[in-house]
Amino acid sequence: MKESFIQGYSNSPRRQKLQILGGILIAAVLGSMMLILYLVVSARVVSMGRQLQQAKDDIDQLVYLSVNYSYQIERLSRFDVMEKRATEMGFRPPYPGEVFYVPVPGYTTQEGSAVEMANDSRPAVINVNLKEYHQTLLEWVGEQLSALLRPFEGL
Amino acid sequence: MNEKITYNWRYISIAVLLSLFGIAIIAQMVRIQLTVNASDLTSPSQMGQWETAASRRGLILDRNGHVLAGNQTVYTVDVNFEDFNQPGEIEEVKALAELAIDVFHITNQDLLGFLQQEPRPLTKNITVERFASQADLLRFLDLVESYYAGGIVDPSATETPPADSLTLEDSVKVIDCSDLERISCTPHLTRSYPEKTLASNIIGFVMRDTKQGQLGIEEKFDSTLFGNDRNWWALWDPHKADQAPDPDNGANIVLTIDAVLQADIEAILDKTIKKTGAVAGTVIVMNPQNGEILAMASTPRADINRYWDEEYYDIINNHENVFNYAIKSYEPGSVVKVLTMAAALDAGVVEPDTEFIDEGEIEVGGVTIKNWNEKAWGPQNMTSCLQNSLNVCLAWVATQLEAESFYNYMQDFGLGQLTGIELSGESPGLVKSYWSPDYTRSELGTNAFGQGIEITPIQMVKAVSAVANHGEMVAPRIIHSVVDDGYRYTPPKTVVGHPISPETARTLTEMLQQSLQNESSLALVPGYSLAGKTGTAEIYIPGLGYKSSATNTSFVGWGPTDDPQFLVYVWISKPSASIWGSEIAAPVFRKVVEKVVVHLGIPPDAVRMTLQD
Repeated sequence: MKESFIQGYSNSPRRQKLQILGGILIAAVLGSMMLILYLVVSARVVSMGRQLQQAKDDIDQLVYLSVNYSYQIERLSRFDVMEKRATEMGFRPPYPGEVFYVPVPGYTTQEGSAVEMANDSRPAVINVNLKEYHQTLLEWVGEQLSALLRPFEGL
Repeated sequence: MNEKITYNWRYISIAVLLSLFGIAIIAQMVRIQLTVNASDLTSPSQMGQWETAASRRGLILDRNGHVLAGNQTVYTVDVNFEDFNQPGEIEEVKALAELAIDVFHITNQDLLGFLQQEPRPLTKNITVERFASQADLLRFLDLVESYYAGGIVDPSATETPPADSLTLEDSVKVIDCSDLERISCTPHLTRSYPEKTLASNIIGFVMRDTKQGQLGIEEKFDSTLFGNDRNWWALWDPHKADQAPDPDNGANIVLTIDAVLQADIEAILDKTIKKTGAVAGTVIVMNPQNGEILAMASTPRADINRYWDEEYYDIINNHENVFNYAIKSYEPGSVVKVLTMAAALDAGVVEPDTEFIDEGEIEVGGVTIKNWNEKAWGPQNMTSCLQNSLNVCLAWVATQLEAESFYNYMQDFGLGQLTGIELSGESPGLVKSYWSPDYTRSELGTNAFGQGIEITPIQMVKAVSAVANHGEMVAPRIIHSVVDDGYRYTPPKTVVGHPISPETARTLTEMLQQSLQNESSLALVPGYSLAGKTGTAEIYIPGLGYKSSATNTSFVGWGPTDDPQFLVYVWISKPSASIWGSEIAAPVFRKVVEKVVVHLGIPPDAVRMTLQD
């Protein structure tokens, strides 16, 4: 009696419709979650891509700015400019007989160039070839799942 | 029952709405696909624009880090001549064209023809200037702004202000024209030479359009200096942002020259050329101990920022293709006697006090050789032969050596061979071999005093370095180091041979020092021990032979003789004030040495000895 009641209840047309509807809703919810996930990851990638594009534009702008400043320094320190300024200040080049040489014990002239950069001042290499730019969502989900299941491997 | 009906009605409504929404999306997709121009649309994954990474060409610096060749931001200015039909727009486009013609001094006939054409054709972007300077572009934009504000602008009423008059802010800012509808300006880098003509013969220049180095260091090290602009199609898709290449800057090159010394020596050379009426000249200063070229002046020079100017055309594109006289071959004359005597002393065929009776002429290979004054000088020793620059004596010395030995020594000295200096366009010169079919024995006599051979000043500097530097001959070099991405490569000193023994070098140096002092040469600098030799060579004119009215005057010398710090070579071509090296080139040597000793901090011998003690 009890079993036939349960069977009757679960096989009732309304119950069956509700089951189908529930299944559809669950599928819709899962689909929506996947889409949201895709949207989130895509938005992240787009955001980082935009940042990268902006950073590259900024690099270009900074290069131009740096070149402009260097050019101004080069222009202002030209020999004819410096010579004119020195002449106006009353300086002139010396002749050999006008130079006094004073021995300084322990002093040795240093040979070297000021243009060498120290090796440790090299800029760090920034890796912009991020995985996020190439990975599809399915690959990402697969990777996350395998990471999730890794502790259970071999059980 | 009523409740169930309500539920069905709601389900049906939602289903209809969603279906309509889906149908709308599908309809829109179909509509887009069926649009006539659908195939013309760029795939979103391919949408983007051409961009250029701002890559810098490597700097060229002097040994103290002073920039001789740098970079400068210039702009490509485009004017959009598309989609104008209304009277107001026609006037607007016409005004922009006139402003561009005036500000950028457009002379290109094709471009000028287009800009002045009536009625104007509908064309998209036209590049009105590819290398607009900061000052020109700012003036253009000011005038454009004035036009839009008030209408009529007379560009001829104002001139582009000199770059010096711009404020620092205006000079350095990167100009952005993106808010202007019809004008765009794209920055890019071009070569600049802040010192203009200074060391231009060493540096060479870069073609603006092709960005290829021409002549000098720019050509020789084009691939090293080259900053790869890396034009690429920059996709708007942010997923592809990482594909954009980074700027690829060229390596910096540090020269061995000292720009201050170079400037001083160029000034001395320029004054001499002007004063003596000469056509050209060169002065080389080298450290004979390591081969570093400290200065290499050459006149005439060009402002390589404006290499295309008419006034520089003959300097750069002359018929002999000479831009740097330091690497051009010529008949040097008596300076070669230094090498002839070095060979004879080293081979042991003569000694400093070997006696020679100068009878005023000598016959070698059927040709009679005479002295520069065509007189007999009587009894001489080898020092006085050099002091009086006797052709007869040196021709006799060469005959004592014999051809095989003489030319072997000349080959060991590197005459007629490239020195390998890092400059484009070096001439190898011409020194015949004694076994070549067209060689005659008379050439042994004439070659001994520097006629009938062609060698370059830089070859002479290299060869004489063996005499100055105790028998050790060094390769001249003008590259101090190459700095790339934080790393520095410095080529080592290169010893290219020991053509003579240290004893020979010391003996000859003493002889040349003594001969300079005995003749009270104009090359002497009080307080400094110097050795040197003048040279005067008649110039061969095709069809007319050698003419004594046109000469090449030279001087080679070094000091201090006991610890050589500098070796100076002077060549002044075709002076009209005097034809003699002792009167033209020797004073230049003195003036150069006066600058060199002060600049390098070399004290007079007496002070130096005291300091060493």
